[in-house]
Amino acid sequence: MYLDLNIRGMDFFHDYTISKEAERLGYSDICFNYSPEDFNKKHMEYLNNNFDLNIHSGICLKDLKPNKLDKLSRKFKNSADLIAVHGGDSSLNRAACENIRVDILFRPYFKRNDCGINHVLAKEAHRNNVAIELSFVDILKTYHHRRAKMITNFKDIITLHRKFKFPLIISSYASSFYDLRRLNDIISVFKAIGLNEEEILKATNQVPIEILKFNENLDNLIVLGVEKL
Amino acid sequence: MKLKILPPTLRIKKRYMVLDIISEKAIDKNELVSLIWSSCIGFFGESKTSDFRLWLIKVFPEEKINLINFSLLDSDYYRGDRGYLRFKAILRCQRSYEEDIKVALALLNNYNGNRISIQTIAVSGTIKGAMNYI
Repeated sequence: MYLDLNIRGMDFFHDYTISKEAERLGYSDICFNYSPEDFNKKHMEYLNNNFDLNIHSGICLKDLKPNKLDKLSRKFKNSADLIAVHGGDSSLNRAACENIRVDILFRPYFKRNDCGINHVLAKEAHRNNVAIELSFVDILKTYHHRRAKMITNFKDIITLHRKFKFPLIISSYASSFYDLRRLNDIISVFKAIGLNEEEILKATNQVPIEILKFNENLDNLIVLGVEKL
Repeated sequence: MKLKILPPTLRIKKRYMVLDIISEKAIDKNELVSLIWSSCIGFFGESKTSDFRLWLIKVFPEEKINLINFSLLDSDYYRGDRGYLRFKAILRCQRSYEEDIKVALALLNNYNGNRISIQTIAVSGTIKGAMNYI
């Protein structure tokens, strides 16, 4: 069972081809992430009815000022299956880790020389239950020294994950069906990077399920820890 | 004079990997061989790749897969990928290096501008066993 929570959502035919290929490769759940301007749930119902896998839609907040993050995450919390922030900028990484409404911080190392996470952000991510994502596409589409640097960033995040216990997820960030891989290939790649099999299965299976379940029950949640029965 | 065959205890233990390949355009066996070698050398280096003892046994005929197999008015205007060429192959390697080869093959993305994806379906001890997955 493999849940991929970060696939780039585009138009209907693009999402249709990716869903069809994901079904063939044995994925159980996939989540298409859209920018706030492109977000609509119109074709999700059609895709869910036609394929033997659960298809979700999420919001990916990108290139925004940290003070707007809270407003946008409130706006989409009820309509989207998950709220994610595309990291890279250090202030945005910090704002995402400190915001309890954010589910995932995608690619905190994006266009940076370091991994984008330090001990302070790691503690905040653990406290607010914000998952940090490692994108498979970042090592798939880079070569030579860039790939080596990317793997170094991944290893730094893994070291912090082991010490500070923030949730870690592995996803593809696929923009085409050529970027999708089977779970056993993903396991092999991340084993080579330094994760063990238990950690990989947690990152591809257990943590994504917990995120989706938490967001499904959000309507019954009064405050964190108090739930309507 | 031909060399005498090594006794079974001294022979190298082999494994046969079944590969599932999807590609934008058709590629022949020689291209696939150089693709696999360049990927392994690129990720693991010449020293470690020498332990793999790679040999491409067979490439099976390709089939064209159309992912959008319905006609809608809008689908005529869609300029993205509609399908791919899919074929399978059997790759021989040395035992205990299967995981490393899987990694190198999974990290293949394109070849001469054509997008490609190689995935390992199964690993078997015999060619006959591997043929069950074709």
